[in-house]
Amino acid sequence: MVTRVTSFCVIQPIPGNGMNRNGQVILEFCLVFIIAAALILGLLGLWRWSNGNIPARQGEYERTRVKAGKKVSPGSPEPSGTVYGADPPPEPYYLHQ
Amino acid sequence: MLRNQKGQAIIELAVLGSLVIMAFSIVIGLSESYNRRQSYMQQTFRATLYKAKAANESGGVSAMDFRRMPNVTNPMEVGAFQSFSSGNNLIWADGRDYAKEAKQYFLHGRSYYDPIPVTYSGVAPDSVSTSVSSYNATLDSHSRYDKNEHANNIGTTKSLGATGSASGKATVGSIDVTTGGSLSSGGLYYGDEGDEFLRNTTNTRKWYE
Repeated sequence: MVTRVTSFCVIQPIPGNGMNRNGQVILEFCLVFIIAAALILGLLGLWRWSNGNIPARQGEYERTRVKAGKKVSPGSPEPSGTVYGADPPPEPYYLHQ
Repeated sequence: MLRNQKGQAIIELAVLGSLVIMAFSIVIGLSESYNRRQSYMQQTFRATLYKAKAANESGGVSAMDFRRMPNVTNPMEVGAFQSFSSGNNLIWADGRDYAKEAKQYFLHGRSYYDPIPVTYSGVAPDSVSTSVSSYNATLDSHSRYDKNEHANNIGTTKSLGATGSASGKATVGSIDVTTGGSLSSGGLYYGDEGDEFLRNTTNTRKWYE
């Protein structure tokens, strides 16, 4: 409770001031908490997406590895300008669920 | 009293906010860097696979890539410079004795294979050793902010243009190779001379009476 000393040395409470301050703190905390939580969740989502890209990319390359190195005509040298069995896979933009 | 408290709150928010954004930029930059490195390594491995298959023997490919990383704290500025080196050597042969000859290459800008004589390799027969000896990067950037106010709308335009070049020297076996290029879109250094890195934002706000 916030008090005030008057010229007659009588301590008088300032009505409602303490309660208002508590209310403001709660409102500010709620606002900042929501903003901070949104930022942290966004960052975690980005990190998870980026982290998941690494095994997704590895899997894509492994999946096409044998096909990429397969000879078109087995048992003979490839002519120059041979089109290879598989192109390098594109960059993964979305996580594999 | 109240004014002082407000001032302190603003200073605290400015300090804490910039620290939080810096922490975010470190985390995002690290994850981007890991991803790029793995991607370049996989691409080089696939290129080595093709070359080993074509040689019907052991094939080696080395590469050195430069790029500008994203700038998290200020998207309208060019990010930090980073170099990535990768190299592989593998055997992909069908076991027959025709047309087999070990080959090794240096891959320039993900587009041109520079043959490296295998016999000159000073490390071991048919082996590839890549080390980034040195690189030199230049950057010249300019940004522009335009604001046009009309009767019932405000239009703002921001633009960023940057030119630059990177040149690096790598040692493949016992041969020194120089690679690099000009800064182009996406922060890549695969461009020709005169290319530019561009980024634009436009924003229009209207109000009606």
